[in-house]
Amino acid sequence: MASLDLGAAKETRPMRRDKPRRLPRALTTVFWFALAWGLLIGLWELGTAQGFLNDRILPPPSETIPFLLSGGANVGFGVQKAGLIDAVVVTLGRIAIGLSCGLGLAVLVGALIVEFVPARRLFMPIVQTIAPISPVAWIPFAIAIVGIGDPAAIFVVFMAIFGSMAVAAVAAFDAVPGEYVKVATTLGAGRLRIWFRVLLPGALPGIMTMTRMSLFGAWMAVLAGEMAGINSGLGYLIMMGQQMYNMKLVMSGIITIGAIGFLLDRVMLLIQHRVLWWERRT
Amino acid sequence: MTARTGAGIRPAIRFDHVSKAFDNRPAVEDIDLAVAPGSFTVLIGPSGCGKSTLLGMSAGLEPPTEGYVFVHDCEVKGPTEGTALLFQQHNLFPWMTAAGNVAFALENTGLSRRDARGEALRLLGHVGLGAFADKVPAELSGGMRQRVALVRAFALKPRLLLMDEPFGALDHQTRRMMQAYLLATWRDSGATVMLVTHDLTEALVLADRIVLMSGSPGRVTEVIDVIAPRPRDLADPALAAICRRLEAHLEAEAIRGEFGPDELARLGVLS
Ligand SMILES: Nc1ncnc2c1ncn2[C@@H]1O[C@H](COP(=O)(O)OP(=O)(O)O)[C@@H](O)[C@H]1O
Ligand SMILES: [Mg+2]
Repeated sequence: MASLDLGAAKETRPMRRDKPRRLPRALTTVFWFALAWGLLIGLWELGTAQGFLNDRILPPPSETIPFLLSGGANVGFGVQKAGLIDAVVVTLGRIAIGLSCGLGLAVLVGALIVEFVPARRLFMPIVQTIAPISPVAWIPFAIAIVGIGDPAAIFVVFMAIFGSMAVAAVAAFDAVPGEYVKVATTLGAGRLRIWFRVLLPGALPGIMTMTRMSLFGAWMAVLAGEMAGINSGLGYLIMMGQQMYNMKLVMSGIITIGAIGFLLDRVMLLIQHRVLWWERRT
Repeated sequence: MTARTGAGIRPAIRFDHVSKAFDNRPAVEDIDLAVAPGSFTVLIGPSGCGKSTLLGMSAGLEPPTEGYVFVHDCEVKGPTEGTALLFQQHNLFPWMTAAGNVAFALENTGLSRRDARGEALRLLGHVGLGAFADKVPAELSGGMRQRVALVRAFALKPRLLLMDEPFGALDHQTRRMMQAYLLATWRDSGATVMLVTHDLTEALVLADRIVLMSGSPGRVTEVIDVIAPRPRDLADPALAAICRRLEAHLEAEAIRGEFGPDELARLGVLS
């Protein structure tokens, strides 16, 4: 009897699936995203209104969000004055430069390590040691060498990601099936052509994944750097908020960090899909 | 002594006392073998006996540790023009379309991108793959992928085609089709083919000559000429006899390599 029931269930299932009653997946995701945050913000608002939460430490969303949108999140006065937008632009610029340099050099060093045995012996220990160092540890060093401006922040971002990206690049190149290189070689391709047409595209999925993870690391590193002495940018804005006991400013900074971090990851995902065009076509 | 130049029969490939070791561990030892030009040779042997290593040395991807490998009377010292290689998988680059893959080979000969693409489209159209020219390998069936790879290999008009279990990943029916396709292509091209397979039927259907190898270290133990008209009729008693010889050889090799005598007695294989 049991097996008979199972058979009947199997037959009806595909029929139910024929009706496209489910919401498109993207819409469902957005719905739950909005619901989750709506609930959290609602509880928070309620909490401060009821006095469970101290509204001087955790200003309610009804104050923070208008404050954020009104462009009131400024620190300093006169020429020293810096707004939230300026801070974001400064921070993103540092990430863009640090990440580009880190990615470029990591792929180059990774390629050298893969191509030349002495390079592997010489560079591999170095990048493997640099990889696990916390980016925050480089901050004093960076400030001592290049001062407290953009170069220090870029240096910190670079050091945060370079080691792990180089290690990941080597892994990505090593993971390209040897057949591809052998086939390309017998088809008469030179070493340079093999690098650009075979090894680089072959390693691209791995490189893109690592870049996406590095973006996350870079985002963390630059904020830490800006909080620990580099006196401009989004992280600095939050530190200023703390020093002035302006919790609305701190909260605005945190919301901005979350929102931009999320957007950056989405943008990276889009880039990844575009760059790896052949993986979408199945 | 004309050993170095191999004058006379002028084989397409000649292994002259070739040994190859990886990290001092011998993979193949003292291989002495000549492959006639335009012939179809099939290599058979247990896993790890060095079949791929022999192909790799013929393609100039790996130098022998001892001895010499000649292809068309020239000592192989690197990848040679006129030698094509085909594997079981990872032949086509996934990040190029079918036409892009063929064009990649043509561009290596100095053709411009445009001309290479035009020629690639022509070659693919010629074998009925025109509609798939702009598909990436992931969109093609396993058999189609190998056909595109063959088209690409023949685009450079090779005189020697080395194939390492090329149809091993295909289903039975597709494999039969691919064998027929390969035979037709081979006959039209006049190229020499050396193919590795584990499939005895494949060997009997394709080979002019079957080279039997044994493992650890790899050696050539027997060379069998298959003299029967194509298409091959496997019911032919001569072919059936060869098939039994191949089976006996592989069984003996498996016994040597994988099982101890006690285990064999338990399985009753030796009885
Ligand atoms: N690149 C390599 N490095 C080290 N050992 C290898 C390498 N290629 C093959 N070998 C070894 O050489 C032997 C023969 O390998 P191979 O030619 O691939 O055998 P087959 O193709 O007959 O299965 C095996 O023992 C294998 O482990
Ligand atoms: Mg092999």
